[in-house]
Amino acid sequence: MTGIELRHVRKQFGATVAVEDLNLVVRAGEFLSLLGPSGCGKTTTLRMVAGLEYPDKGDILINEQRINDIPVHRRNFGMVFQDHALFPHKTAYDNIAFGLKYRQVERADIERRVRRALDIVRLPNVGDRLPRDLSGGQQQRVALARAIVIEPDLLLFDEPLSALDANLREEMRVELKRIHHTLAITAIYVTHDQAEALSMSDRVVLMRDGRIEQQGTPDELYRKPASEFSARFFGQVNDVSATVIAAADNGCRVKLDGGPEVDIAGIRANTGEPIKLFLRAERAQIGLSFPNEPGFATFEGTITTCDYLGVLTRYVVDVAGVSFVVLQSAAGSVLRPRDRVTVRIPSDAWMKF
Amino acid sequence: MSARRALRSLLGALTLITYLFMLAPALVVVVLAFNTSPSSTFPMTGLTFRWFAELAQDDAVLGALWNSLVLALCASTLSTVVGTAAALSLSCFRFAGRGPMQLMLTVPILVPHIVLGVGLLLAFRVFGLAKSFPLLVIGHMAMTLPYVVLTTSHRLRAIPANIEEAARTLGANRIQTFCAITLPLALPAVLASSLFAFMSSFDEVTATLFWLPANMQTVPTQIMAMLQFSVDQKINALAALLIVGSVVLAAAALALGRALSVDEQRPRGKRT
Ligand SMILES: Nc1ncnc2c1ncn2[C@@H]1O[C@H](COP(=O)(O)OP(=O)(O)OP(=O)(O)O)[C@@H](O)[C@H]1O
Ligand SMILES: [Mg+2]
Repeated sequence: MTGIELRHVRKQFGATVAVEDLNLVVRAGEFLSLLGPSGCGKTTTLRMVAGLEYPDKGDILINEQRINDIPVHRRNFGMVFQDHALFPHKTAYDNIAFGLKYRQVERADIERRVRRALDIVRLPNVGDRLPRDLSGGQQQRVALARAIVIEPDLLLFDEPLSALDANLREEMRVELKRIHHTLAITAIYVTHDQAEALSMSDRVVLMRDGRIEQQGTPDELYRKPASEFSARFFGQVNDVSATVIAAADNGCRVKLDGGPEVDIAGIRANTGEPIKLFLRAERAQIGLSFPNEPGFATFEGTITTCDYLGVLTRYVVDVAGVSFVVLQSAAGSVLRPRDRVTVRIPSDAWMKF
Repeated sequence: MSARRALRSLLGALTLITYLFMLAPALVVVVLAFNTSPSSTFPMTGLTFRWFAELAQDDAVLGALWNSLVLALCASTLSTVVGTAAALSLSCFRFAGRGPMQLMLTVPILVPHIVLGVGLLLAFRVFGLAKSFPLLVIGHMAMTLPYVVLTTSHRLRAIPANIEEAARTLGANRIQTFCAITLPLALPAVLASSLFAFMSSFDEVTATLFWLPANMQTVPTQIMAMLQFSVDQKINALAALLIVGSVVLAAAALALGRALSVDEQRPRGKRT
C-alpha cells in the first residue's frame, strides 16, 4: 500500500489561485476526503495528484519519491470522474479492459481480471453493453471497475456520486466503502457533500479558498470544529453574542445579549469580556417542559416558525429576543408556532472560536 | 380535432410538393436518359441503353471523368489530412494566433467562388506559375478545407476532455489516447467531411474554369462545353450517372456515419 504526501503545493490559473501552500499526508490504506465549498480547490488538488495538472510550486511525493515529473499514464492511479467519463464507443467490458491493454497483461488474464472487477462492483452481466445502454448507477460502477482493475496504487474520486439521485447515492456510498475495504487501497475522495465525507472517510480534510481549514476524523471535525467556517460546514449553527459575567477554570457564566444568563462548560474567558458563542441546532432541545437537571440550561421561549423536514423538524424559537434554531426529531408531540416551550441546552454544547 | 387533422394533411401535402419540386427534375433526367429518341423530350418513344454505350465510347467525357475523379480524390484526401490536423490543434491546444488561424481556415466558405477563382489565378501570375494540375488541386483543397476543419473541430470539441483524461490515467500516453479514443470518436465527422469535400470538389465549376490548364476538362466543364453545341442525349445519360452516383455516395456516407457514431447524448433505447 502506498501513502502520498503533498508539500507546499500551489496552483494558479491566470489570476485565480486555486491551491495555496497545501500540505497534506495521506496514509497508506486510508480513505481521505477532500471536502469544501465549490471552487475551494478540491478538484485541482486531486488533478495534481493524478498528474493531470502540474503544480506551480511544491512537491508531490510517494514513498518519499518526488513524482511531479512522472506523467499521468505512468502513475498507476485509478481515477473515477464525476460524470463517469466512460468511453462511449466501447462496451463495458472494453472500457474496463482498456487499462490492462497498456500493461503487460496476457489475454486470458485480462478476461479473468475484468470479470473479477465486474464481480467486485456487482455488475456481472453487462459486459457487452455500451455505456449509453447502462443506467447512471451502472455506468458509475463500470467507471469504478475500470479504475480498480489496473490494481492502482491510489484511487482518486472526484465527486463520483453527485450525478446520481439520492437513493442511489446512499447505496453507492455503502458500496464504495465496501469496495475500499475489500481492496485495502489508499483513496482520496473529493466531495462537497458533508454527509458523504463524514460517513465514508477515515479522515476528512476541509478546504477553504485553496487552503486546508481543518483536518481530522469525521468525529473530530463535527465535535471540535476549529473555526466558525468548520462549524458551519457541518450543519446549522446558532450564533449568539454574550458577555462573560463570571469566570472559572473549567467554564464561565455568560449573559446572552438581550437574553438570559447561562452556565457554559469548557470555555475559558475573562470576566467582562464580550464573546461570540456558537451552538449546533441539533444540540438544543425543545419541549413543553423538562425536569431540572444539572449540566443543562433551560429557558422559556415561543416558537416562531416550524419547518417539517421529514426525519427532523426545524423550529425557530424566540427566547427573550434571542432566536434559536433547533433541529429535532419529529417523533413525539407536535409543536406549533406561538406555542410556549422550554429550550434545553447542554452546558457543554456551546462553542467559541 | 378535425382542424388539426386538416392542418396535418395540408402540411403533408406541402412537404410532398416540396420534395417533388426538388426531385422531379432529377427524376426526369434519369428517366429520359433511357429514351430512344435523340431529343430529350416527352413522350418517351422507347427504352434503350444506347446513350450510355455512346458515353462509354466518348474519349472526351471519359477523360473529363478521370480528371474529375483524380482531382476530387487528391483535393479531398489532402484537405482531410490537413484539415483534421488543423482541427485537432485548434480544439486541443491554446496558442498565439489561434483565432486568426481559425478564421483563415474557415473564411473561404464565405468567399464567392468567382472571387477565389480570380484571386488564386492572379496569385499564380504574381509568382510566375503556369496553370497546372497540382495548382488546380491546391485550389480545390483551399475550397474544401473549411468543411473538414469546421465539421471535425466541432466534433472534437464535443468530446469531453475527461474521457481523454480517463484514458491517460489508465495508462495510455497522448498518442495512444488519440488513436484509441479521440480518433474513433471523431471518425464519423472526418469521413463525412471528406466525402463532402470530395463531392464539392467534383462538382465545382466556377473557380475551376479559371484554374484549368489548357486542354483539360473536368466533368462539369465538359458538360458546359457539350451544352454549347446541343442538348445531347449523352448529357442526359451522364447526368443520370452523376445523380445515381451521388445518391449512392450520400446514402453510403449516412449509413457509415450511423454505424460509426456512438453518441452518449442519443436517447437510450429500451433496457431489459
Ligand atoms: N482550468 C482552469 N482554468 C482556470 N481556472 C480554473 C481551472 N480549473 C480550476 N480553476 C479555478 O480554480 C478554482 C478552484 O477550482 P476547483 O475546480 O479545484 O474547485 P472545486 O473545489 O473542485 O469546486 P467544485 O466543488 O465546484 O468542483 C476555481 O476558482 C476555479 O474557477
Ligand atoms: Mg470540483
